[in-house]
Formats: sequence, structure tokens, C-alpha cells
Amino acid sequence: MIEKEIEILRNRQLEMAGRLLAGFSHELKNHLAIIKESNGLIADLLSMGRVEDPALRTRFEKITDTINKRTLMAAEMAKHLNGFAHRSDTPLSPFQLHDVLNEELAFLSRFANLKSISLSLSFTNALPVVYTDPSLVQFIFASLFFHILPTLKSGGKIIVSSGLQNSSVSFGIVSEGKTSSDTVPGFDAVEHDQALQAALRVIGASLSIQPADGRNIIIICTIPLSLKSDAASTI
Amino acid sequence: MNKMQILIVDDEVEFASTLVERLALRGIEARSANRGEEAVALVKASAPDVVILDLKMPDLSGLEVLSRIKAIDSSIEVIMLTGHGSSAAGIDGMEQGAFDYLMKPVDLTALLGKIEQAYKKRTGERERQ
Repeated sequence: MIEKEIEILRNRQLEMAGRLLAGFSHELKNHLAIIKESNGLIADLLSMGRVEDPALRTRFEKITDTINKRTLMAAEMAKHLNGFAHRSDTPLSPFQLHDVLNEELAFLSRFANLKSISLSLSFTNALPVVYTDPSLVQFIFASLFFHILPTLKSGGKIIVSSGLQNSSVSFGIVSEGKTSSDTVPGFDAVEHDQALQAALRVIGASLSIQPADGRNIIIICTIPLSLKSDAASTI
Repeated sequence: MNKMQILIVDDEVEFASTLVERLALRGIEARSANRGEEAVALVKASAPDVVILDLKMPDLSGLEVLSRIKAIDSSIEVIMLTGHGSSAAGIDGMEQGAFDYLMKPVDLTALLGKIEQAYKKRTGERERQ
């Protein structure tokens, strides 16, 4: 009974965090829109020659360019935050795998950058729409990412790929430059990560982990295109 | 030939007024409203050609304002602005008669392009009537 109550409480906490984040990111975009337009107005006035000193005008133009670029970057982050916060609104929904991965990579790239690990994408051009729980797909992807990251040395690489089989899509994480060559990095941790294993079971996904050579590891997560109805009832 | 008239509806006063000024610098006549009811009153009074309409406002939602504008004059074109991460809200607006939608923060060049297309559609429809 207590476990059930804790589960309900956790779900409500997550739901509330999602709602707060969604509202927050929406407001953030409003502020960014005002900054962008105000900066654009300054740029308009500069381009109309309202500042006569050419050196000063050039300096101001550089500043408005920087503000514009950074505002767009912040807006893109706010957009991803908003999308991420809304992912758990409807547990089962149609989505593009690339969208949910890109949304999450916007946040995960920071963790890779802090360790000087390069992060690149190698996505298949077109994938069909997947009908499953997008927040669980994001949970699986982030869990794998955080298992892999500590196994890499500074200067290492993570390549995220995607693929299509008959009735499933997949994402792959290739890591290059692991710290030790005698074990498969992260494998035990992945096997013993109960939450990750539960998420895989709920959406009927499977993992394959293999060392590609002495220094590289490939993890492939295969996700059915559509969640079977008996599994769906557990979400 | 009449000069194109734009109405910008957004509860963020600074956003709306700055956009009015930027359009004015490009020779486009624009006014702003910061509440849904105010926008509906301005539409009744001045029949703008194109309305740039924020989806989320405190008194009336953007979709309510859209429906009232279309009830006043269905040929007035409405471009919705959305701060949502997904395009779902914008698509809802288009299903209810909006010309198109753009995500905030807005790219002015994209907005000017949409305004021009919407105005062409509006004037084409007026000529047919």
C-alpha cells in the first residue's frame, strides 16, 4: 500500500514538474521575443544610418549580431525545454524518433561538453512515425548516455545514430575512446539498472551492447513501431 | 489603392509596440492591441487586412479572438504567434481559419513574407466579393 502511494506521489510530482517547466519555458520565449525585437529595432536604426560615426556603428552592429545569435540559441533551448516538459502529457502518442532524441540531446550535449567529449549525429534520413511512450524513450536514451559518459576519456566521441528494421526503429550510441579496454564499459551498470530495464520492458524495446574493437562500444536500442495493446495497458 | 493595414495583438506590450515600430520603418502601417476584447473592438472599427495574433492572452484566448474576427469579416487574414515548443497549437489555429502560424521569437523576414502572402489572399478575396 505504501509503495503504491509512493508511486502515485512520484507520478504526481513528475506531472507537476512537467507543467511548471512547460509554463516557465513558454514565458522564457516571450521574454526572448521582446529582447529579439528590441535588438532588431536597434539594428534597423543602425542600418538606416541613425548613428553617424562609422566606427561606432560597426561596433553596435557587432553587438546586435551577438545579441541576435545568442537570443536565437536561447530560444532553441527554450523550445526543446518546452517540448521535453510536454512529452509526458500523453503517455502514448505518435512521434518521430529523431524529434525526441534531438530534444534530449539539446540538454545532454552540455554534459558531454563539460568532459570534452564530442557528440555527433548520424541519423537515417526518414523514419516512420513511432507510436509508444516518448518520455520512456527519452528516459532510456538518457540512462544509456549517463552510463556511457563516465567510461570515456576527455577527447572521446559519442555518435548517435538511428535505423529502421521491418517493424521497429532503433537508435544507436557508438562511444569511442573508453578508459579501459578489458571490459565493456557500462555493460554491468546497464544490466543492473532496474529502472532502465523496466522502461525497456514497458515499451517492448531491447538492447544490444557490443565492443566494436578495443576502444569502441556500440549500443543499439530497438523499439517496436507500435506498442502492443497488452503492454500499453501498463502505461 | 488602399494601404495595407496590420493589427498586432499581444499582451506583451513591449513586443507589440516594438513590432509596430519595426513595420513602420518598412513603410507598413500597423497598430497594436494588448487584450483580446480590445483587438475585437479595433477589428470592428478599422477592419485591418492582416492580424498578427498571439495564442495566449489573459482575457480571451487567441483562438477565441480568431473566431470573433472571422465572424466580423471572414476575409481578414490572421497569422497566429505561438510560444509553444510544438506546432500543435498553430495547427489548431489553421484548422479554425488562421492563414498560418509562426513560432516565437519571430523571424522578421519570415513574418514579412507571411504578411505579404496573407495580404495578397485578402485583396484577392475582396476583389472576388
